[in-house]
Amino acid sequence: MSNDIYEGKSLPHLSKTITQQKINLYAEASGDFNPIHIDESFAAQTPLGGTIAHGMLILAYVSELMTQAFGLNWISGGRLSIRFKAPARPSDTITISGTIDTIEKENECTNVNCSLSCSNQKDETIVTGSAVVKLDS
Amino acid sequence: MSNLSFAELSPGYEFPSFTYELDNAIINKYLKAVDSPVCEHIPPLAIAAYAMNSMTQSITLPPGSIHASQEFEFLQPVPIGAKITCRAKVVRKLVRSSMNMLVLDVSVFNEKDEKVQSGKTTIVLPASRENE
Repeated sequence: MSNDIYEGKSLPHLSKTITQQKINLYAEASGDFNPIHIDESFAAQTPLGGTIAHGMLILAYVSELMTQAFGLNWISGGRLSIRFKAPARPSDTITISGTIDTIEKENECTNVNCSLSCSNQKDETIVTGSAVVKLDS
Repeated sequence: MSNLSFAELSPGYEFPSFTYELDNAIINKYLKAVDSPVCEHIPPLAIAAYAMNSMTQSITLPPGSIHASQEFEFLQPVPIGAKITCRAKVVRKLVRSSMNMLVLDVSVFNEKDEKVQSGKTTIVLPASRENE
């Protein structure tokens, strides 16, 4: 296991700005055309008051952070568990961050347990969650 | 086949499986949408997006439905150009006066029928008049 991986380490954070254009691109790429994401006049009349980004778009950013930190170990042995706490809206800048909380040996493997969060420019939490990455010892 | 509504779904219901070929064009479109760098393997969240799409092609979610939580396990990398098959089923359905909730299990398999990813999706739906 790399010496770069230790308890308490902050993972290099990512920052992404949401735009309606990006939301529309994601709708086309994923096939998710729920009007809450792409129809501004519909979304304006809902309790959310406007369009919101797809949750899976935000999770793509979370996964990008984990891939940058753990590479192939993330895509071949990662586990992710998250809750959406608030919507991400067009013009929001989302900061995706993570910390290695604990490192546990399990048989021939090492489990790296991380906490994750995404927050907007007002420091409001958008997503919270945890991830486990299995590394060969 | 017509889409199913929330009322027609029950725990244990298995959605029709869907198979996708995730070629370069599809993955490049996805990478552009998520503003991510080019990669050797398919990003696991791209696979997840297609798995979710396989469900939403079969059900009609009322406007205002919200993705509340999500779990994933990524079991092995999938090369660009691979064919994946997505299978999903309803594991829990909750009806309340103020809202409805649906919990779905999704599994994704490669061409050798090896599981490459699994996930659990929780969707909160606005309550319908039938709830009252």
